[in-house]
Amino acid sequence: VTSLSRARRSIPSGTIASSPRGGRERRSASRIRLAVAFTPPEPAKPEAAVAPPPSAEPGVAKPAAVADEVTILGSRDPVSSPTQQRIGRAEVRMIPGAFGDPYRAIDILPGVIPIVSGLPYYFIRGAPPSAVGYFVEEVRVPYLFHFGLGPGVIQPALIEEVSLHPAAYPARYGRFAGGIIAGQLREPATELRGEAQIRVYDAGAYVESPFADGRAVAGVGGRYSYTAALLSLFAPGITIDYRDYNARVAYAINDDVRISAFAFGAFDYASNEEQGVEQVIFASEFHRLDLRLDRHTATSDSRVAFMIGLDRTRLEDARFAQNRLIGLRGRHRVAVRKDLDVEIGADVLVELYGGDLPSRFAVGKQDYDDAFNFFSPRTDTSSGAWVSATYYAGKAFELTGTLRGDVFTSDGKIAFGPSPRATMRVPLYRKLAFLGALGIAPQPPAFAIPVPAVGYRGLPGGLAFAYQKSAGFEVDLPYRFSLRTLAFHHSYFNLRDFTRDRSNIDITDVSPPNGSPAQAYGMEVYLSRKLSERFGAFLSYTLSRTELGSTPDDASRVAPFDRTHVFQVGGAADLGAGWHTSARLLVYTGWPTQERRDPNDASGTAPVTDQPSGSRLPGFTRLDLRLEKRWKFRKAGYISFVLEGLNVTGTRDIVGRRCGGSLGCRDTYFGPVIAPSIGVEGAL
Amino acid sequence: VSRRGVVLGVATLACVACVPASEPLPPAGAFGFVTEPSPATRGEPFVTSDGWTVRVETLVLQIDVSATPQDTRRSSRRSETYRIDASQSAEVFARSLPVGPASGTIGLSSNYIGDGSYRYEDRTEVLGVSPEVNARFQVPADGSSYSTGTYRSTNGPSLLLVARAEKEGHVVQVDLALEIDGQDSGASAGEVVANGFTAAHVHVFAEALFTDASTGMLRFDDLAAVDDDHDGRITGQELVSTGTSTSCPGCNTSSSGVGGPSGTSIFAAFRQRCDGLFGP
Repeated sequence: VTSLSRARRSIPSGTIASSPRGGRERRSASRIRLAVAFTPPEPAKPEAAVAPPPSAEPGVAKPAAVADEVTILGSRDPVSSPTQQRIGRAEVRMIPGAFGDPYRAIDILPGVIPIVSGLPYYFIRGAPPSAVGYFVEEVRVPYLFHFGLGPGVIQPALIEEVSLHPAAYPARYGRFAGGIIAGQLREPATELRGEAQIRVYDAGAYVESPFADGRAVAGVGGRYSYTAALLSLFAPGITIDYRDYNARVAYAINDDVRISAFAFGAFDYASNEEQGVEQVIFASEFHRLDLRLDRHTATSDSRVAFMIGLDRTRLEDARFAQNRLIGLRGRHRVAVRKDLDVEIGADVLVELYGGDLPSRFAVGKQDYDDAFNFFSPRTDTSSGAWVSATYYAGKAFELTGTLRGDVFTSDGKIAFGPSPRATMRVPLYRKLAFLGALGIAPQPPAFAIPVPAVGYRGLPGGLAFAYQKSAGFEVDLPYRFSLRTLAFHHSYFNLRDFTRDRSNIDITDVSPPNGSPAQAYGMEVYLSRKLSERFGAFLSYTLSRTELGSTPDDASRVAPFDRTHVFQVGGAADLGAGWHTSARLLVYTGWPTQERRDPNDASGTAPVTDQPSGSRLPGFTRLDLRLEKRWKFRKAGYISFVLEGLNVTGTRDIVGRRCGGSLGCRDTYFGPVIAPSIGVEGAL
Repeated sequence: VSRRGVVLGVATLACVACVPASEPLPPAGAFGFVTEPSPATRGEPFVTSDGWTVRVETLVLQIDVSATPQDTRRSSRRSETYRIDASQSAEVFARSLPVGPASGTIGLSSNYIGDGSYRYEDRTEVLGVSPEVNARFQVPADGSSYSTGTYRSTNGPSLLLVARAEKEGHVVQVDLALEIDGQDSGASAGEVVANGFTAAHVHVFAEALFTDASTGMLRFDDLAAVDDDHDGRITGQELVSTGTSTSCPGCNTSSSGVGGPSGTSIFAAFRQRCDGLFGP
């Protein structure tokens, strides 16, 4: 390589507009000019030593190099952050226990603390699940998994990668204090492609194809559960049903501009038949349609998008709730200088809540108040604007500063949440770099578990704020291993946190108290070699502590869901002949004991929970396995038979302990959550 | 391909069913009262038989409304607690009663506040009461710190009375936040209708608090005598701790819970007078 430079000149259309396969490819936001000197191979040496030609100068043994210029196209990811963690689609497939779902795969990353094994809800650096935002292609998703814990609602075939932003998120993300999990869609297909899975309990597929001479792409997919039919064989009175859909259409107006529509939605339904009457236990659905105009040039990247959505939910003994959403967002990122990118953007989301409010005379006061809080008509708005600048001071040296602010309104209340952020990546020595992040993240009151169309009215208690700090190092190791280790300290203020007392969790509380300050600190280590390699491996370790308090009426204590150690090690191997296997071992510390005595027990003989105080419940160990046999056809097509199991040893989480006089101590368990999966997957 | 895609997309969307709408609730309604303040309760001055001109400035009542359906097989008694500004008309009711005949009562009530170790959560419905006045109901009633006897209230007030009395240039300010044992003093009957409110009208008579039970005459001398420190201000503490005898036929000092000096106290008499707060 004789020179390397970042080109600013626009790339001629003919150079990149048509792919070798005839389809159209998106123009990159930036490009790198790489000048390469190709050296022709030396002629074969004769058997016998031959004297050099007389014309050859002494010391010059090779012929003159032939210079050429190769342009490597690649976009600098505008949403990258030095402290983010990414998992690509090829890796996701190999992570045992993730069942190919990118959003479920993030639990291998450090900083992600499971509540209990098998539940796809996590604490991230001490922040509860209600403080973590999930996005797909910048659209917030009400819930990612059917029934909150089942299969994902987004087809894996659509997702290119999923990123975890635990702190100082990219400017376009906000309104969550605990972290952002963002999925990025794949580029539209340039030829017919698709993926499908058939499992014991459901089937899903996604197919996408170009048309209009490659200028347009259309894709559709979904998942359908036949658990209702299966259950009817064993439990005739119970119905569990879920399904989802994903679709997108994209059209390239020219080499720079593309319009697209992305639609997705899901439906969950559970009921129980009592005395011949079907009682709805839970029913929920959501729909999103995102219309976008994207413009990419060599030096800029812009998007204007309009989103509409509909959420509906019905809970047992409660009412039908509905939320209609309208969102508008825009951003523009431009390389104002060779070493400076600037992004500005804004977004507005209007949510029109409503529902079937009962007569205030026909139900009890508490029931009516609850219903009023959740189902009476109201309009909530969230508006944000940001400006962000990234300075590329040198090779792999970047500094990003962001100013973002969000305004929230609900039922006549208004709140403003400033959110400044800064990140840096500073090369220290060859393959060693320093990573740093600082940020403030505001969040409006959030429901404990995201339920479509159900939220708090009137911003009760005001905004919560997280103060995020992290720093560490990243180093590339031999054999394509990489190591990243970060220390973090996050503080949370005014967070409505349902997880402060394990013995008293009421997720339907309409006015949970604002929690006293909490803080989480610790260290994360992630050593990995891509699982998409022939032999891949990862080691993920989180050493952390989350503390609650302290205020005069809330003494400092360890958070009830704190886990000191979360350790994972796993590997994947291509065994040849189409056989792939992977395994993961997960070990984590038990929760702190939470001693609680019956205040009315004067004799002291009543059972006591989690005795003794100050210790911890036993830890947990889980083993996940995956085995795949793949038959390939055509260029990229395959059919796979997949055996996958989460928690194949059937280990149970210990979630409590009761000690009583003659009974001794007895552990209480959750699970075991075992998720075996036998399925067939295929791709075109 | 596009046509097939569209058809497939529409078919997929059609598969996504809708969340079922709410099911109709069993027909039910509310039964209760519409309170109407008397002129004295609205703040109009009145003259007592012993020559005082009294003006009620604030009267806030915490009341309990109970309703019982005639057919108790379908539903049991319902009750709800309100805190109202008695100078204004208010609708107070018990809800979720089955359609049909029902009867209801209204009376003073109080909330358990505790001594600080108990986390008090006020779920009383507050109607027309300012936050400052409402805050008086978040702490134990006057007299709870009464130290000379055994009586120690851990309940909040049932009644907040601020009044001004004047006689021949002598002004006495009354400021009481008292817990009054709840006795249903108003009763009515009616027919509950679906999703409706069946109301009986009840008047609030603030002047009852100044009415001598034995004579039926308006009096203030006995209350004025409670002002031990002669600062022109009668507090709940003074009222509870004073053993001034007064005529109070039917007062039962033991059941009144007053642990002060023996005999019929003005506090016991005052509590007795509260029975006359509500009337047709």
